[in-house]
Amino acid sequence: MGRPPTIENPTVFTPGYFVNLLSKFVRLALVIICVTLFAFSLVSLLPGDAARTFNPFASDEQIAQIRADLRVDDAFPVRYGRWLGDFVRGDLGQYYGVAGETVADKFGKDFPKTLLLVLYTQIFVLLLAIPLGVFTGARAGSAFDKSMNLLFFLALSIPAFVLAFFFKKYLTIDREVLPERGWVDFSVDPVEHFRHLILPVLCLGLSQIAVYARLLRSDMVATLQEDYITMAKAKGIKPNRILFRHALRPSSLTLLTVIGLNVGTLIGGAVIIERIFGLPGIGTDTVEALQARQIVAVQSFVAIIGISFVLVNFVVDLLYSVLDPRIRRG
Amino acid sequence: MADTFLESEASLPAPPIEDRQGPKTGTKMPITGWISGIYLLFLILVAVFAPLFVASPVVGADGFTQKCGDGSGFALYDPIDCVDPGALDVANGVEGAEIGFDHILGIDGSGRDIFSGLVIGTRTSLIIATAAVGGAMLIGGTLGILAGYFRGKVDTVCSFIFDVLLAFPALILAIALVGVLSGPDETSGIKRIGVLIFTIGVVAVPLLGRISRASTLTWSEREFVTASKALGAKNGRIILRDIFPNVLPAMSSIAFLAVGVVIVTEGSLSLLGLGVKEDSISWGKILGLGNDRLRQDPTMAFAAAIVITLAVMSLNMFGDALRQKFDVRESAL
Repeated sequence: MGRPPTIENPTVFTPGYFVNLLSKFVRLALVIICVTLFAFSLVSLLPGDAARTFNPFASDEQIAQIRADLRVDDAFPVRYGRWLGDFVRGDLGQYYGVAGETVADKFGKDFPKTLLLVLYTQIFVLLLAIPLGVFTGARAGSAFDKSMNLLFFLALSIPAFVLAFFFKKYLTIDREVLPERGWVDFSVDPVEHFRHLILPVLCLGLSQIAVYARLLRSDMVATLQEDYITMAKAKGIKPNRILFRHALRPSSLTLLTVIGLNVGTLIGGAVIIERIFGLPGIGTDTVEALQARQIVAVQSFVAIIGISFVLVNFVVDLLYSVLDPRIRRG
Repeated sequence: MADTFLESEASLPAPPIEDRQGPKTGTKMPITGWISGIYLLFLILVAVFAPLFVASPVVGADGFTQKCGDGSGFALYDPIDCVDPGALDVANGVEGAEIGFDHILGIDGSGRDIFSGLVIGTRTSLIIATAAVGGAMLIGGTLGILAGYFRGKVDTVCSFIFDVLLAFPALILAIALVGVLSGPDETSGIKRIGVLIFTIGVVAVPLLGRISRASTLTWSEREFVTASKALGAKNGRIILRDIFPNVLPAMSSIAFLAVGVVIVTEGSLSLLGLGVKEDSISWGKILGLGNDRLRQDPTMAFAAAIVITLAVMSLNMFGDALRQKFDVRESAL
């Protein structure tokens, strides 16, 4: 303790590291509280009687029930406090109109689907982007690099829904190569599960490949000029081994950050893709809840999505300093 | 190196060759910049002038049949009120039906001309995009410059606001805001457009704010800022005369990328049924209606998709070209 990290003992955790860590946790807690506050105050922004807005045709008893559920008669801080208490304990409120179904049920059923979609997309993107980024970086300025650069530009400029339209028209409606819409659980039929997700993953992932590969490329261009790469070349190590074993390693932190940041982009993008391909994920739920004026559900969905995104990036941030001793500054 | 990757990759402008002379052109504008710039100018002209050449429906003597224009091709018809029941009948295979007026790209499910909708919808789409980005630039840019210049508490507060807003995936935040702000199906078209501008603006504030903050952080370290301080210049003067002119080029190239992102967001919201209302027309609205008719007639969805893609592509190209011209490094948008 207290000693600076050395080459023999690079994992020394200085007191400064812990202070830094503590301030990170405090900041995390503050951000999460503000995220929930923000999501909660959405319902307060609603004009008019919130209970009436929910269900304009409800009877007086129903309205009274909804008013009690929403605690509209309490002051804002009290309401927020109670809501947060319920929220933390997993009580996300009622889904009005559907008998017995709670928001938590719906969430538990559909959030994993969105997560799977995002997970598959990340895997697909990484599988393609890593080799593309490494090879374009290794041959920077070549014809291959230039043509890939053009492709990346196109991939970044074509919105996901445009891809979705063309794929849907030519692969599902005209030729029926792939299923047009819907979700099949992996446990029900693994083959159909993946067949239903090929197009959504493709549409969601193509532009991200360009994002990852471009970052990796510029990282590689810098790394390949380092002395230890020259050293490895001089030792006669095969080029591919140098690229993937020696040069790619320092870029793994770059990739990690982008993966974390991209979770949010992908969850946002998934809303559209879920809609076009009829997938019952959390994005579809949020939109449906909004259209049905289920503000309690919207509140909870938005809050949970926000919190998970914050947590993912927090974990990435922590991993970052664990993986790279240089970042543990005091 | 690794810990500074986000900063260096994302937003920092490279130091210019000559300092005090403001944004000096580093390289010439590439040819793609010219092409995309001309296309963008064309879009702006369409947005401004096309709605002036619209044929409105003329109700016939019987009070029901309406006639739009003189029936010749390449005319623009009112994209909301001009319905062509004849063309609708033809599309549905009704015998003896006759097309009321020519449709270059066909008609939508209610008999309205798609081509006219796309041309006239340019105005609404561009108004939403530029107003949202303009507002976000003003607010986000100001907050970012203040945070980057004063640091300390101002920076902590501004960065915290950005962090909270960035905690929500952009589209989720936009959906929630549009849904809540527009109320239960009572809003007029104009009010919805205002809601869309506000919402998308709010979503864009933290992105633009972060970039202007990062840019300001580097610029306020420069010698000429120190020199101004040493000469006794007030903070306001330094910000306006030294920082702002240097941050502006970086921001303006990013603004073009942002306009593209906003156009896509408007399309996405329309796809989800949260776009402009029935009495307005925009690219996104045609996209949304086209999605519902993808099976019967893909022309509508494809036409809107291509128009949006071309606009986004030229915005990205123009932003890239500006960035090369002003030598700003890659943005995070």
